[in-house]
Amino acid sequence: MAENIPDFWPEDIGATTVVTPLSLMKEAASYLGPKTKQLVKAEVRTNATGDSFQQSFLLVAPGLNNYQYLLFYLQHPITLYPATLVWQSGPALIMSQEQLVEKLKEIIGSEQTKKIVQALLAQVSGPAET
Amino acid sequence: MPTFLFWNINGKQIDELIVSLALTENVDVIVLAECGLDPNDFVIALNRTRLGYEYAPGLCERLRFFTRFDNTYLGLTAESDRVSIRRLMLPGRDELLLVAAHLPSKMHFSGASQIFQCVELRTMIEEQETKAGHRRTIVLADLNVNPFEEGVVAAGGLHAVTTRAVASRGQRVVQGTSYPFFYNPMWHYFGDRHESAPGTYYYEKAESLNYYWNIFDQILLRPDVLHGFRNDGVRVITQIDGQPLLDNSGKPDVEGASDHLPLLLTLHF
Repeated sequence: MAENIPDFWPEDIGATTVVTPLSLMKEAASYLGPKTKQLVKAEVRTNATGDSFQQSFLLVAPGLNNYQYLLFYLQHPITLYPATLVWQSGPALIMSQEQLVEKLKEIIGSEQTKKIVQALLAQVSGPAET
Repeated sequence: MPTFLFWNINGKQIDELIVSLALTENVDVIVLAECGLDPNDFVIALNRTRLGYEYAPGLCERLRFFTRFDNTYLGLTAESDRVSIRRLMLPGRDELLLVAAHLPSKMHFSGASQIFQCVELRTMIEEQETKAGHRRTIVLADLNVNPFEEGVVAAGGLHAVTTRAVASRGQRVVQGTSYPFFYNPMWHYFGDRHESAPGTYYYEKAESLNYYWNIFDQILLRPDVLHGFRNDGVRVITQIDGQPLLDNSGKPDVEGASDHLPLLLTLHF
């Protein structure tokens, strides 16, 4: 190849440590099923509208005819951040991967989320045997 | 003909008013938003003069369902903290998807965020329609946006249009994607040239743009249920058994009732 111009591309252009919100949310979702014997699972649904992406985090109960509970959703542009996360308390601006991880920790560890998962488990499991 | 009531009761203890409305109008399904009533006490109040109502609980605490049908006919399919979607499966009738929603207020969400709430609601509805295998869907909601706002009208939003004729086309293709219509009969209720109130919610603010009367409370119908819907099938209720729900200035009586007016839907299916 004739070298009319030098290679302007940085050496480390192919190495990225950025993890997309979708990947982070999917990974967070994957931990729920094993903890509930797959009775309640978490899934992430993606929707694209124009140049905006919406990632919705759902709790799913296969034993309840795949009943779904939308726990929260995240909207982000193609550049990933800033993103807006909508949870029960309202919209929160997410400026970075680190902030998203912190928010996921807050939501997943919240009493409200625990209450919903446990309610679903109770429904699936039925009354306790005596 | 089955009758549905939707009312944002603004956290008020107005159980006697609701009971009166339910009994005088023979309401079959009651959906209450911002309901601070104890469901057990309210069921007792509903059944005081005529037995038959049950509580149909869900995980969405913002919306409470009560029904004269067996509550197992009102199966939960999808929820969030602002939406509850149920399959109404009555013997001898076509199954319906009953969607109730109470979307965030303009006080807490920007216009853009409200649009995304409508988009998310549309996505939830379409997923459940796919799962159910039909589009016999009705929406009873406090959308906190007017029927003319983007989230309600846009194809990627709820795609709810002004006339039965347009909605009856079924769907519209935009940029290669097909979007089903809703019919939004609430457009009929704007202004003061009919017997009802000029909206369902009155809000006056010190800004240049002020609608005063809004129709945040809406009933939307898919074309597949329109054959059972008469033009007078939706009513904005302004009095219950002689008690006005509007104050002396003609606005919703916030003290005696709620800041929102109730909606009744009668639908044959």
